[in-house]
Amino acid sequence: MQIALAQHDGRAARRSVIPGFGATLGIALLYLTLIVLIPLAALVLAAAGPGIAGVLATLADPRVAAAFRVSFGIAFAAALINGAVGLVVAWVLVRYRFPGRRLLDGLVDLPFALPTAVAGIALAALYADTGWVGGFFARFGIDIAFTPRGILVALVFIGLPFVVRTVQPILADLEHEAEEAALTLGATRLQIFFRVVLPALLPGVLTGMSLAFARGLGEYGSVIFVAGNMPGLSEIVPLLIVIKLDQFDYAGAAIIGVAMLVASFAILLALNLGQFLMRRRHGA
Amino acid sequence: MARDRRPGLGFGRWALIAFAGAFLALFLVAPLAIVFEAALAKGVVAYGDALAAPDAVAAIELTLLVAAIAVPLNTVFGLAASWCIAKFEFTGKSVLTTLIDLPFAVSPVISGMVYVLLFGAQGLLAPVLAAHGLKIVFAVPGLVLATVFVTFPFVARQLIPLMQGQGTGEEEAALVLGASFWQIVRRVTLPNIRWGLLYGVLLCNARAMGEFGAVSVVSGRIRGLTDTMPLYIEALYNEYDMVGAFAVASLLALLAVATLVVKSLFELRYREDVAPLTQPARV
Amino acid sequence: MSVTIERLVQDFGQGRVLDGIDLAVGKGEFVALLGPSGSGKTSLLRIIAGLASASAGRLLIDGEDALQLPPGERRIGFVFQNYALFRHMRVFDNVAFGLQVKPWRARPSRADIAARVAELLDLVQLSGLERRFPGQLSGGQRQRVALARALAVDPALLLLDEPFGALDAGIRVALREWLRALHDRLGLTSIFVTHDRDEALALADRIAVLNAGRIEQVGTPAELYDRPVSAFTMGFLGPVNRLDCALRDGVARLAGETLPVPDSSIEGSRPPDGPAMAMVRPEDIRIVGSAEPAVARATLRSLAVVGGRLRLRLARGRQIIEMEADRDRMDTSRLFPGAPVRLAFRRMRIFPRDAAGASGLPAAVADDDAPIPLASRRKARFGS
Repeated sequence: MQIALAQHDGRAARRSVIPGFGATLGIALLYLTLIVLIPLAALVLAAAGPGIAGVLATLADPRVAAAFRVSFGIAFAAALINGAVGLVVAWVLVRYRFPGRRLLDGLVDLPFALPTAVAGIALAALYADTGWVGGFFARFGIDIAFTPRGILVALVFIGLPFVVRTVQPILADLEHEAEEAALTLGATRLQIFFRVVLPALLPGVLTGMSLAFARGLGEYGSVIFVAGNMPGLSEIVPLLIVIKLDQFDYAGAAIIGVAMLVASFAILLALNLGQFLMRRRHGA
Repeated sequence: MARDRRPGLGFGRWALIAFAGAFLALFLVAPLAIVFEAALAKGVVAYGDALAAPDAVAAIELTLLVAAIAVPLNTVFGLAASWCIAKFEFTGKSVLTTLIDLPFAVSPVISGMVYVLLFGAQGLLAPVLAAHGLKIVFAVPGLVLATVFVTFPFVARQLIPLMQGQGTGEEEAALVLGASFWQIVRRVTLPNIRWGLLYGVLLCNARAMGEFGAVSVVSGRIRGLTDTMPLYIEALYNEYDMVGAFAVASLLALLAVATLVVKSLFELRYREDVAPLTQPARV
Repeated sequence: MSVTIERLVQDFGQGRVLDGIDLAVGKGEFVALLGPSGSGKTSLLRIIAGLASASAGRLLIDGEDALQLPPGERRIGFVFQNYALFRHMRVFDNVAFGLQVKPWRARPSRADIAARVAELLDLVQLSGLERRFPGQLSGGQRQRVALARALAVDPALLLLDEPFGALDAGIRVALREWLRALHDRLGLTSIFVTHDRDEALALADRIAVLNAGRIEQVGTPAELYDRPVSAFTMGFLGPVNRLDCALRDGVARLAGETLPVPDSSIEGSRPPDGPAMAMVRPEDIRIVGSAEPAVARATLRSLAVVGGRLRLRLARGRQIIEMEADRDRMDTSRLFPGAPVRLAFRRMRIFPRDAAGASGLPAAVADDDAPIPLASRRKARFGS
């Protein structure tokens, strides 16, 4: 009862004493309604137009299903890669000092800051058979650009900052006493990493991975130049939406769009739930 | 120093550093480098010509115009939203912050598509537009709308955690001392958030100028009229005009690098004022 | 400026933060709102300032209804717990703020503002620090800037919310004496919130003790200490021993004792028959010889010399009783750990049993850290 009162103390006081609540909330809501809610409503309306039968027919179309497989599958793979490598990069940036660390640290945000079209053509040029990297692999008969591998490369690129930036602050704030205690108790350094450090980082890694995954699902500009865009093989869902719009199949495009939103929200919700349960168990 | 004595992974910190460095070099540095290499592949003169081409100039102007409209609008929104979210408690606050995060969860293609669905030739509001002779999609207003949608969270996401961290104490003190709303905003709040605000505006602008997916859906792809820089880059690339495409791309790449440099400077000097890029709006 | 609070209530959601507060503060008084965290004292202060709203009740400032007045018009100075200095303004601009935001008709000239700021900084002994930023000041200095800022607009009422909470002990004591001197010198009316009873006792003309949203008692420090009306107030204002007792036909007996507590030992009213809680302060306990009747028997656990005073810990069953006495008034020659002692009490107060429990303060605490005497250890090993 006393603790509850203490919380009430602060919250009751903050209600509407400072001026400007009505006006700022009004502006924010108006803006959101015009820019976000109404267009989203249009999306749902357009998707619902053909009715249940139409929706199912669209989603069952082999090309659509293939695009979903490509997008979700490769985004997931890229998220996994980013999870592992991102953890290493975050570790290196936080725990070690070496020349050029600051530069590398700043560079991690590049995929976030670089316009997607620029990234797209750069990746395409880089990984084409004549490119710096693509040429190297071409000698072994491995094509990267214009295949699903190209998509993977692009999604790894754009997802890189998410895991690194989510893990870095957690790693930096880790209590080193816990590791030192493990050391005095006789654990090897590898044991300390897997038993003490990694469990603390795991929620952050998973958060970063899910952010990278969500970003990778919807990515367009970075991918379409380096992907093959061949239906059924290397065609991503966003591209399919664009194609349908060009054909004036608004309903079809809307249906695919809504399906993608629903699927990615569901996955993110599941991930957040899992994290919430994990956090409750370990008492974050 | 306690840090150096922390148990590492045991198998060679330099191996890990080398791995991380190599990975980042491959995935980050190489794409950046190739932009400039390809842009200058045929020499500086060709680079200059590509940038001076009338269509290129038109694309640059259009990009600047769209950004000049979208960024101030989003700044006003960001200030209003972060004021009511950070200084007050109310039901539905989490809904508001989730809505603000929405463009980050939505594919840019969908962000553009929603406006086509509303204002396109077969869109919901098509008859209304036709009656008044208005063109939104496949014209500049559509570009602005799509850009606004995609970039409106940036200023808010910088300001919300910043203002929440700063609390309401100073504003309350000013209130008791007799200040009016605008006096509080001007004298107390704005000076406290100026670096976060500036950084948010810079991010918003960089993203606005570089947006591709959403804009490509609503644009008429009419070169010289409705092609922004990213769209123009795509067009040139598809025509195999590599120098042209990469020349314009290099401008945007320079903008990205400049943004990163500014960010590092801000983090060095105003660490507590700058929120990380990947942090969600809700705290 | 006088403040009158009548039947003030503040609800929040399902909970009631303030449950009918009545308080009158006269002009020139220095009143402390004392209570544990969650008691509502800060909420009350913020309502007076206009930073929070009340659900019911009246607030009169100088006889005028003030609840509807915005904070800027109440002629109140508020010093926040964490100072709330404007971090991006220099000390000068912080202190001058209240004067600079006045509507331009009422605004003093720049020269006047500068003069006033200089005068205030001199008052708080911070002259010469005008150009500093709050981040460059120590905690005590920031506190004084906050005070100068609040005083700049010539408030008739000064409100302080745990003003010394964030400071080191030594600075805290020095600053609070200085604050009281300032209050006296300037003829202010001040209300300040604290959870530190020493602070309240040292500074205030009158203290209002708050508990769970209600005022338990209002009075001078002496009144509260000598004549507490509730177990909560007595327990909050000083160290106290709590002894289980029972009342029968108006006569009190401590648990486990046969002799009743003499009437001369008991102060204040007695609750009705039944189980009760007797509370007695450490300095009101005496060790008596075999000639006098003993109200309680105990064993001496430990004896400590603290300056000129003796602190004794006495064990009574599983309970520890704290006792204090002057060194030169006690014959310690026959006192050793384990010695049996016979006790008499002075100024004991008896309260209803559940009142003590409801106050949230722990009832008589069992002594867990007593070392096991050798005899029973042997018994424990071999079973009894």
